Amino acid sequence: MKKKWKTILSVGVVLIGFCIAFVSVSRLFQPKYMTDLEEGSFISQYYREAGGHDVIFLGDCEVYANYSPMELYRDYGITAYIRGTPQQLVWMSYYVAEETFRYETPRVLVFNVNAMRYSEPVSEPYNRLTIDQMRWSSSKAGIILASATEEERFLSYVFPILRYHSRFDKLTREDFSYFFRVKDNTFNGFQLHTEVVPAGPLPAKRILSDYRFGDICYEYLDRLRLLCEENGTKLVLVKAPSLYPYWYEEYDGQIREYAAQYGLSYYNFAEQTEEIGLDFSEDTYDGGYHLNLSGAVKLSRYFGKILAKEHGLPDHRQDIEIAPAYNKKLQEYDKIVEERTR
Amino acid sequence: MRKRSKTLFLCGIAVVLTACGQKTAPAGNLAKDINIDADSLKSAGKSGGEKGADTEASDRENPKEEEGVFSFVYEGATLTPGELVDLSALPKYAGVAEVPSCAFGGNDNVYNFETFELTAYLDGEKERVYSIYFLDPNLPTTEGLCLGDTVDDMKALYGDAYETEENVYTYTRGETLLTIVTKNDVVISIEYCLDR
Repeated sequence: MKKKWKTILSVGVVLIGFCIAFVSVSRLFQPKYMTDLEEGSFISQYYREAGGHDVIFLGDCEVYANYSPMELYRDYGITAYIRGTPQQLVWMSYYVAEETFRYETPRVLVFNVNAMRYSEPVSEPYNRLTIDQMRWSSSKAGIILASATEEERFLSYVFPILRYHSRFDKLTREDFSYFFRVKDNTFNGFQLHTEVVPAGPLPAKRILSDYRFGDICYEYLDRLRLLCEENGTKLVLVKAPSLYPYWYEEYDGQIREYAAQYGLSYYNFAEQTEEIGLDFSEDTYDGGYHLNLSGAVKLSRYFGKILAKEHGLPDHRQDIEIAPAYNKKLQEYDKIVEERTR
Repeated sequence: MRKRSKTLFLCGIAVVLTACGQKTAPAGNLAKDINIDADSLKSAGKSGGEKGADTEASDRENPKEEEGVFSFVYEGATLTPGELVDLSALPKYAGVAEVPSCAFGGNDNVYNFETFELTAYLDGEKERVYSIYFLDPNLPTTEGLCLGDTVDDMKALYGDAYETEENVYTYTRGETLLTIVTKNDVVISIEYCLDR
């Protein structure tokens, strides 16, 4: 009898040891996205800051590069967080929103509509940048199932080592330094770029075979709208002022129609660059595809005014529960800005 | 007992390693896997990941089979999707645009020759033709099709072996495509493209 229990205990210890080793090795091999492809760590940085935001931004690079929550707070006292990731497709935005509502209920959810042009998952590496560092929940399971390309396996997200085992000879110090926790490299989801690369020649505007958004994009936009309705959150649609890829009139028309049908606000900032004060010879870090810091400051001021006036967002600058933390963050932000623009 | 535990542990490791044989690119290639021009990809119906995975092109030893691929001949220079770009064989381009992807380092160069645009992708340090997009109605394809011609003209030149979806006709030769968009039976867009 004693021997039997001893055997069970030994097997149990071995199994637990194996599980710990397996999870540890899995975590070690998973990219930390700290020095290379830092956008892959954006999704996880939110969890430390979750809660208490009046505005949540969702979308692709057109949100995390173009809007600065620090400026929204500085000028209007608006608390905002950007949950943007590279090539975040509509179904991804839906599941990220679903997950966000587990942590907080923002007054306004801003969705950048650029992703409406994509009806299919773009590629596995892009999926990884959004999904890898999401916490486990039914939203993560949903985003995997909705986003996976043909060659992707659900299990490779459950057990990342199945995907990343070949990194064994590419491990760097970063993989050990950030084993337990990745560092913040954004300000409330905003990726700060101070470089200036003026807009140059752009490719010709190509004639597309079909300008209609896919059914799946509408399906998830509907789901996002209904999710916001259920939570009493106002859904606001925006299009960032990028010069490329082209946002065709046909695209714009479909979003206007959708917004009118459901009584949503839609702001196409690509049509308002003059009012915003954007100058693509100095307000972009990559030739007009994304805004740099000076561009993001201008756009955030412009949009902040809209959010405050048209959507009635409160000013938290005198709120003793919120202001101290934000003021501290603003100081850090200003310090980094000063260092990078010196 | 200790021996049994050790065996169990090793078995576990073996099971995991066996399960690792799934169809994904090595993580070390993550950054190289992507290179996206969103609009051209939408028109070509291809994903960026596929386009970026260009190692096969560099491995091909004898890629040019005259009848097997679409090539565009311009002022004596031959441009074939998937083949190396030789800018010295072409007239001086009017401008070049770099098209970045959202997060990854790779850029496509889009060379504007005024009558057409040549999109080149990087294969190591070399550039290869990804697509040739027609801008000028007077510029004929190698076989003689121009923007503004009719669908009947197209069929007379290229035949009926096309795939069609609504107003788009796609001819395939090897790994190259000729995609023709029409409106009211008139050709409004012509593009040679790599089928990736």
